[in-house]
Amino acid sequence: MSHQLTLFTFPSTFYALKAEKAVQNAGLKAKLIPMPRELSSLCGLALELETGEEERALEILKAVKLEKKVRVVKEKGLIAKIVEVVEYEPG
Amino acid sequence: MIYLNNAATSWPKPEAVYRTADQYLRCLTGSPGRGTHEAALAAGRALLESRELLADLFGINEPEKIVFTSNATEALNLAIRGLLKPGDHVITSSMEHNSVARPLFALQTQGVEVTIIDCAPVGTLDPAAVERALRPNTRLICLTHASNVTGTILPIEEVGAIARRHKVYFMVDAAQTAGEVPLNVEEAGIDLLAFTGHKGLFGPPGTGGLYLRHPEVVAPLKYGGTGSQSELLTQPEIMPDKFESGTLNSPGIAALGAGVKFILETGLEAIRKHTRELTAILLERLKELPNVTIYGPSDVAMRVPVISLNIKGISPGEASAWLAARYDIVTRSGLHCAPLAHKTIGTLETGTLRLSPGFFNTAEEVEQVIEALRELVREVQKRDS
Repeated sequence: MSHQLTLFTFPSTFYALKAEKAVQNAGLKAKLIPMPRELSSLCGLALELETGEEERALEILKAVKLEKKVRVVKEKGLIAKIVEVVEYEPG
Repeated sequence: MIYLNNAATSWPKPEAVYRTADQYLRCLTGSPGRGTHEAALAAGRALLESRELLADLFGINEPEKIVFTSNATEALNLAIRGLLKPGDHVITSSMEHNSVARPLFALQTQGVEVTIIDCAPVGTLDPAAVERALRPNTRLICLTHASNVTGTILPIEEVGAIARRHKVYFMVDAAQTAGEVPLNVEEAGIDLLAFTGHKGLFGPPGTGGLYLRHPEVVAPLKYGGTGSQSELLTQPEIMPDKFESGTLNSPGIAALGAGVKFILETGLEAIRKHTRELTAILLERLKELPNVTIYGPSDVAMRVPVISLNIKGISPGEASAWLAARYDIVTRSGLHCAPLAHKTIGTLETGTLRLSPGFFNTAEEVEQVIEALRELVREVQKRDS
């Protein structure tokens, strides 16, 4: 079964944890996962959520520094395909 | 025991501080930012929470601009050594602790110009004297918020306004005031705020921090692993990682967060009201004792709960030992790591006996201390007659 997910990556652990707290406080289902190294090495974490919730999450994450947004397709828990990578301006 | 040495380290701590340190060491086996298992994440969340609570307490809008250090001394060293270069000029006061005076003295030998503004014998500072001392190459004004010897509160808002007007960085050493006196980095125009965790903030020793409004102009004191951008051999510029190399004292920082939470829940006003009352009782009753010299301002509103005194005919060290041996009263004697302040108040030769009540002391306890001192004064008079 394949499944489309969005991963947000961050310039540091501080922002990853801040992002997790912000989206969870807003009632979104999101979790921090180890960041696949080929996608980013800035901090070891990515925030994973359903792609359907991406827009709401982006709204909430305005106050947080984002590095990238990566849409992936997961099959049996493994990344099968990278659909899209959006890089954000630093700062 | 009656503990009147809160200016050195606060005791006891709120229950939640003990519980948090214990729980962290027992359950959160992860290293924040190093690993993604649940315990490492929970450890990271605890640091985030402490950072956010401190930001709340000091009116800081960007919690990531607070970096954790092992104490105020490390925070002050980081700011002073990271900001000042040969040829820069820095202005400070004669009430500073050695944690400021010594790093500045060391930099002076490397070409940093240092001006020390003399304070009045009660420890007060004239902001106009700071303005007069400005030079074209002045880069930093560095001021303690309150003296650890006399308890005198220094006019940080006025000096902050001067620093802003002249576009000079302003650093405040809040070792004696964080958790004791309201402190807002915006209102006081503070660019660098150094604090310790184990005094008014009720955290454990080995915790402290620095707020940096302009982290880009300060070089790190330490370089190393941050758990981020690991492929780079250069230190990351991103905050707070830039200044937090190496594994932090996370159980201590989590417990510090519990201390700050206690302050926010209790209310700084309520804390200040109680310690002011205790200080007022001490000042009022000590004045009645013969042969006792009290240093610092007589107005309790101009002080933190720190009282330095001397008793004619007995050294502060002997007085402190007598109080401990006879009545189990804990005080501190000596120079309190601030020789400049002692020179200012005229006690460089003798030092002082320091009484520093805290939020968990009671009026009954300070009354007992007064009675003990009354007896001591009487005994010394008898000895000398």
